[in-house]
Amino acid sequence: MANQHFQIAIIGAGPAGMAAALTTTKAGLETIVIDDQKDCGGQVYRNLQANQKISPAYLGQSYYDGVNLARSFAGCGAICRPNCTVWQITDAHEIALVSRGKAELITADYIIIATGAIERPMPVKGWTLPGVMSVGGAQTLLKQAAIGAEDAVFVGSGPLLYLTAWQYIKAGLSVRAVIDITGAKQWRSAIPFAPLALFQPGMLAMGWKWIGDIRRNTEVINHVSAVEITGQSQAQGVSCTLLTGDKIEIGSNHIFLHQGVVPNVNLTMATGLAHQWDHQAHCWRPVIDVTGKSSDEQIYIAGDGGGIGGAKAAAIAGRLAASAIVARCGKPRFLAQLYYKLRHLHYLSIRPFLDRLYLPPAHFRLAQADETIICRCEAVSKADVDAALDSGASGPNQLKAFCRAGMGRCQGRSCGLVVQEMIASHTGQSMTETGYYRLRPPVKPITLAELASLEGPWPE
Amino acid sequence: MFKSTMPQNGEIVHLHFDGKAITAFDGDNLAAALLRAGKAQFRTAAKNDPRGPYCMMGVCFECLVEIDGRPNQQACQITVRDGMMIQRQNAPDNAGKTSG
Repeated sequence: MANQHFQIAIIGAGPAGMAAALTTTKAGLETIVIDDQKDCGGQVYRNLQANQKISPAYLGQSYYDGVNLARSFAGCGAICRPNCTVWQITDAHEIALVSRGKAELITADYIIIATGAIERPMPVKGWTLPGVMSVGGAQTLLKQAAIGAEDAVFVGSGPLLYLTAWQYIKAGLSVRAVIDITGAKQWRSAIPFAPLALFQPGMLAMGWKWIGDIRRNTEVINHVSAVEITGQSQAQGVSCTLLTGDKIEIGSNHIFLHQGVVPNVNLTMATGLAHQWDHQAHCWRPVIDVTGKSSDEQIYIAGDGGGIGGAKAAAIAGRLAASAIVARCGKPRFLAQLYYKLRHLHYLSIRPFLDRLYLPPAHFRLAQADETIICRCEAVSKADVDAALDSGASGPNQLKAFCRAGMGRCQGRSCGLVVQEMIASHTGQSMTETGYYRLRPPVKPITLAELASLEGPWPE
Repeated sequence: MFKSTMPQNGEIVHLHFDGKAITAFDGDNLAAALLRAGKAQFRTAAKNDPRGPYCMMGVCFECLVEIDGRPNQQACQITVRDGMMIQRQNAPDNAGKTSG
């Protein structure tokens, strides 16, 4: 059986993927869009079609901004494959995926990877206890299932934290406290970039409103030096140490952690594309040109997966990558490309300010207490990692062999950046020199039965 | 405890979690349905470490449960079906212990 072939394969149906499909289908290119969720929208516009019918106001305007994009996408003529997990892209540009227990290969002339962002790990003591979730997880429950927790505590910083705490308040849930880890140092480094951020007055005003509403409705705790979550088999509360040395104990069974988002590089790294350490955003990002073209001529990366810009920047990045591909297919789009490039720059003008303001302080990026779990999958603690470093583990891949950190199912998504920075601060090497886990397919765990179900030729 | 932020209606489906009956709405996300029913712990990791859903987007693998006898299912990526039998998934007692 020959593999299905498409001119364009888009992986991820968030804003970048949906917008890219609008441009490629309009140019008459046969397009397939693959996503691991049951509905399009990605994480930011998750469950938008269903929510649109009842329109809960507490989700806020930034969420409903996606309605037009999702509606156009539904009618654009792209072939949609929801509930599909991509586990490999081969050198021959075969995309290996698994859907409902069955593996298959498709091929494409051009691939747009639009797999978005994941939350930066926040390794505080007790963060593995049931009842502790990421803020993104809490927000997903609000969008997907219209459920929220009473008396929750939000800990961390960044736009997603303020948005979600605001949504909680608007939904009528009582928020026990917001513990904001943004420090004076972050403000000092961000302020010089505030004038550039003024190119996005709407976004600044929105953030200002969220923070103002939060301050009016719940206790906000600033000047924090350490946070621990208490409890034995379930979260019982947060113990928070202030810069003054004072301690505050807050009881709650629901603690939501967040300290920013970073590109989800698992697929792009496992595909062998070039990556670089982003000093401003303190994360890895694929090396891409202004149109999103990666180190592989046939593969483009659009949206937050290529560098964090937010939903609106992602949609423009999708348009930009798609129009560059359309041009390579013989239909130049000079004016459209120029327009998308300028709009993309415009959306990104707020990032130098936000990236610096919400870069978590080093003591929150690294674990503080010895018992803190670093690798959640294998339950490897800070003390275990430190012991491996003392025994001479010199890099992330060697450290895996020493203590199993990064060997689990999540393939480093929850610990990679922490482990890398722990190694760098131990050896004194830079983050670039230290490097990241060597990621390999399958990008998501698949069973042997699923692999064996593959019909026709095996991946090259 | 998670509670609904909107009046919820829809067809009721019946699930079992560790042998106890739970109701959910048709089309519910499994992890969300279990959280709404007051279940916080979904599994144990190595070293008997209790875990529950963390990221809700398929990244962290903390919400793994056994469904109808099949282990390692990400509850946050699954839609409920009437009659689903869900078991907490516990790591073997010796998992995560390094030898020697």
